[in-house]
Amino acid sequence: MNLLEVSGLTKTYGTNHAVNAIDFHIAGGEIFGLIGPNGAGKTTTLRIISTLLSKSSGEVKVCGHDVQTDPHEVRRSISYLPEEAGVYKNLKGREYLEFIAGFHAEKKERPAMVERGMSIANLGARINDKVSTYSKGMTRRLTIARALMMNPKLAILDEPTSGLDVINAHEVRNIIKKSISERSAVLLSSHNMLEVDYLCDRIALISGGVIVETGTPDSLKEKYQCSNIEEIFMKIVETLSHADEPDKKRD
Amino acid sequence: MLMNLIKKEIKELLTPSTVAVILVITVLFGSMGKLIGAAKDEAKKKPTIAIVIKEKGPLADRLREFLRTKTTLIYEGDSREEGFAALKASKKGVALVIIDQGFEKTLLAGKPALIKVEWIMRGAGLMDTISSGILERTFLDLNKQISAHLIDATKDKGDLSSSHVLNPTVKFENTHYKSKRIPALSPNKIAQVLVSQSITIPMAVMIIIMLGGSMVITSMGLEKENKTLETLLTMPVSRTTIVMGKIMGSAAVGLFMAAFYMVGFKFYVSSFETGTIDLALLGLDLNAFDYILVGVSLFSSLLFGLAMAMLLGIMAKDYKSAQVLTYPIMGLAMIPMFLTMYRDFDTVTPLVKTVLFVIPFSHPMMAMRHLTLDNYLLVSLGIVYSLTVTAILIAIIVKIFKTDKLITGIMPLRKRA
Ligand SMILES: Nc1ncnc2c1ncn2[C@@H]1O[C@H](COP(=O)(O)OP(=O)(O)OP(=O)(O)O)[C@@H](O)[C@H]1O
Ligand SMILES: [Mg+2]
Repeated sequence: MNLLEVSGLTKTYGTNHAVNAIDFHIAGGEIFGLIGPNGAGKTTTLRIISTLLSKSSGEVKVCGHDVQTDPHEVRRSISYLPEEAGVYKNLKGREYLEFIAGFHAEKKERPAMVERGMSIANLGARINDKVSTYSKGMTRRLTIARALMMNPKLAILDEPTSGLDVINAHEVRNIIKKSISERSAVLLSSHNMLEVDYLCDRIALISGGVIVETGTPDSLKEKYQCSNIEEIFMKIVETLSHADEPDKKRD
Repeated sequence: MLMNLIKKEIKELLTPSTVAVILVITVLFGSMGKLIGAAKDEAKKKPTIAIVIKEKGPLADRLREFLRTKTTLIYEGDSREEGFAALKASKKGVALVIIDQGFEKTLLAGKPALIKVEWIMRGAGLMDTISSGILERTFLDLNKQISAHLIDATKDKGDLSSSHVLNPTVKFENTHYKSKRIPALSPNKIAQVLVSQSITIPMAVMIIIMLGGSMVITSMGLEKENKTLETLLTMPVSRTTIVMGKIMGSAAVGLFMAAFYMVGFKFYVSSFETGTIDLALLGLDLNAFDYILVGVSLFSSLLFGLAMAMLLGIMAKDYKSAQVLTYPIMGLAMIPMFLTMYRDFDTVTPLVKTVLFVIPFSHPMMAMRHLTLDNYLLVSLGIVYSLTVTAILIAIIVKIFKTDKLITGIMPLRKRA
């Protein structure tokens, strides 16, 4: 059974189609990457799957549960990491993990979950410091740890490595890769094409709210005769330029 | 370059919400001015009184004539009871003045004569005792009339001492303040004792509500800015739990604040008891149960403030926009603050009464005064009302939490791009 099934998903803001009739699915054991430029509709898609946003039309099912009609069951199966997520500044790293574990485990199981979180975050003694003293990379490791420590069936990570230096990004990628099992999956977004090439089993290229291509990185490289995803993306966007809708950012 | 910076700064600061706040405050102060203008009018008006003058003779006629010109008489007769009843029935009546038979005889015998005054005190707000203040000054003039009469009457004999002639009467006064009868004091003297409470309590209540409210709004703003709210909303907990958690958490802090307020307040009140007038002797003190009721009243309206803050906090986009959103709460708390400072609940028009009752923040501001007069009903009603409105607000908030308004934001004034 697929852990995630998305079909005909559409989200409109006024007349703006943020996401326009997209279809994809994720099976157990997969890391799935949603790749696209700024304003492509990645965050919107992830938020709908995470039960944060209502959809305009289409269907989204997580582990067989509909996000619209059965959000509580969906929330039991997922773990969502928002783009640039922060932490309550007055908490210590460990306290934050304990706080989150309180939602996901019975009292007995919490210490083990927090222990797992601490080993994922790998912050050493600093885990007992206030989060307000953490660097960006440390905060990201902590939030990744809290998203993965409960072994969610579907982890939804919005740009997990954005804004991190090469070493930190590399480490976060390894953490994600290690977290996956046969019965779980990861859905992540990125606009770093090289990263998804390394990390993802399958990818979907999204632009202007439309998925323009799906497949494994290798199959896509073969199909378009390119050595990396970036080139493929440029090629596709050029050929589709008539259907392209540029990002209409307000403010 | 400077112009460029100034322009940017003005653009940042002069948002629709700040303009709205400034407008509200202007209107508020405008209406305050009206209220104070009304006070001026009242200060010019003659006090309304009832008189029972049993004394006969030229002096009595002179005094009656004097009072007729200086006051508005609603009763002039022989019965104390009737006079007092007429006074009570009229909304503006201030005092019943009684001059007994033998008044002039006592005076001529060189003894001070008695003027009995039964005051009616209608409220302890700053503006409630204007009328009785005027009457007190009228009594000074009345004494001058008596002095003049005595000088004329004893011109040839001159056997009265000058101090007696200049100070011919003693006042025997009682004040009826709602159900209480306070001996030997005029409303003005009582108001002097209560006036510091009239000012301090509403201000303290407003500060507590402001603190609690901005606590919640700021936390909502921060949660949105840090995306911790998004994280929280994807956890497998009911939306009601999330909303209640936030409100009850801040309410716990609020309870703490309310407790400190009551302790500080007890000290504040007891500092008056060492002064010239003992509130306990006046029957205007509070017992332990009263203090608890004041605390509960404060807490229930604080709960309303927190729920309102949370509703406003939904509109906050980040920490900065959260700050401005505390102003509606401040505005709503300022209205009863000023109103209760100037007037007692009982002495305002039905419209103002309704406004006061509807704003839950009024109730703790008025609770103390109501309880000194044993008006438990109004305080309890206030508590029940505040809790009911809070429950409704929480239901609305939970409803909004179940939609995606928290993420997309509520933007009623969205401009078209
Ligand atoms: N609350 C909103 N109201 C109106 N339009 C919105 C709202 N949120 C997002 N959009 C629009 O939806 C489109 C998709 O936005 P989304 O945030 O999903 O993009 P993204 O792919 O995550 O971009 P980025 O890489 O910059 O994070 C954009 O055009 C954006 O302007
Ligand atoms: Mg995004």
